[in-house]
Amino acid sequence: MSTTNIDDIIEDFAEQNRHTVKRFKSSDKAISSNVNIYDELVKAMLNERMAPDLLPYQHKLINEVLTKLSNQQQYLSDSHEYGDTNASSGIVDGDFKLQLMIIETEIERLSYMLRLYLRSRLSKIDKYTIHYISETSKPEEGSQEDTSLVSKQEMEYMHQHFKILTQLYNNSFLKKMPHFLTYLDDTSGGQSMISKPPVNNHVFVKSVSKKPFVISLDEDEDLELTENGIYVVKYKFIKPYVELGDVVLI
Amino acid sequence: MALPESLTYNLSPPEISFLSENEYITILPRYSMKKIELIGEKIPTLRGMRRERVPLWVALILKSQDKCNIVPPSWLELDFLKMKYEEEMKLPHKFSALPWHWLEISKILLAKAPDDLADPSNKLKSIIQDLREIRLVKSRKGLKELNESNIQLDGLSFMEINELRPYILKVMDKLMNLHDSISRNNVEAETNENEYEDGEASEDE
Repeated sequence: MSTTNIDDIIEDFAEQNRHTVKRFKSSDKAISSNVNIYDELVKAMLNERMAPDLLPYQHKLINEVLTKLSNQQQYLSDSHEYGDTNASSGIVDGDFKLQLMIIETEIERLSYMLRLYLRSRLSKIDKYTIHYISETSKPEEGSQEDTSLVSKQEMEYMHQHFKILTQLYNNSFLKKMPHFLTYLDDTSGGQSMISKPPVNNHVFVKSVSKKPFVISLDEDEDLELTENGIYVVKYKFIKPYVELGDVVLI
Repeated sequence: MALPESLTYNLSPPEISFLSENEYITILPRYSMKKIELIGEKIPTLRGMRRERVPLWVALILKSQDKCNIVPPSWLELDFLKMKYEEEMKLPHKFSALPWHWLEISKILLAKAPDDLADPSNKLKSIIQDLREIRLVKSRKGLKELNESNIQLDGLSFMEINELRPYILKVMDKLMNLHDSISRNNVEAETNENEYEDGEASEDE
């Protein structure tokens, strides 16, 4: 009895040590397989939510999240089945159900984050449809699946949305106007009709880079960002650092 | 609309509260439970009376089933908060360091686990309210400093930033527009007349 206890304790201790070592390693490296995918998704969601412009679609992250979600869902339904068939034999206890509940809750929480992420993107695509259609039709875009600005589904949505919208405008009022006034992407006359994302707007950022770094603002002004500092700056100056991961939008 | 206008550049308080539930907290399990492999992280094997760190949302599920006690974070304590309050009084131009999610987490814990807190919840509530108010006053005074370029807001927490955000962003964007139009006016003052003529010409076409 006492020996098993001691064994248990030693084992636990070893395991705990392994845990702490692992944790140290993962905090050392910014990108490793140990990075919590949940936190990554939250970060991507917040960045997307607060950025005035569409950020590149997180192909890798979203694919990973989707795969893991469907795996977990499969596991959940298998376990439910297992629970149902063994309910009478007494193998399954309340503990098991509680565990399934925690797993289910996590699935729901992740799906919610994912929905928020996609909704933020769709609202921007809705608002600046013409701008993004011309952005994504450049030849260098779309050739690489993993780095494109929008996902395949979003691309399809964007074009469909634009088609329906033009149809509606045409049917309801544009057909009654003189022909030269019917272009939705008219840029003549000194006023562009394509609404562009307000990249000049200010955003809240938090620096997460360990080393302080300096960004240049207009009129030869510089700003030093230190770790955990919170700043309000124009989006266009901070955009490259958001993509690098040195700052997060909040 | 994919996202309501009111939510485009801002988060709602429930959303922030949701995000704060991802923070880790220490629990003292009352029962043992096998480890769970979640997508985000692993929940270690829980054993009675051995402390473990788990995400707050897991702790809340266990707590609601009476499976664990939550160990309140070290800052959620009367003495510590009083010290912070005095610090706020002493330094009128600086925010004292509080956790990123202090408002949300204290609210959640006060509502869901009042029996686990070391101090009576009414006293905690009142000191939290005091702290919150003094910080609000400070941040409102700080609004005088808004300019068109950039500001630094160290020490504010997520919820407090979210409260200030709509106002600060709007004012700064407007100031920027004014600033731009002034500088543009100076440059274009001379060429203005030519442009008017051009504009009329194109309308005639």
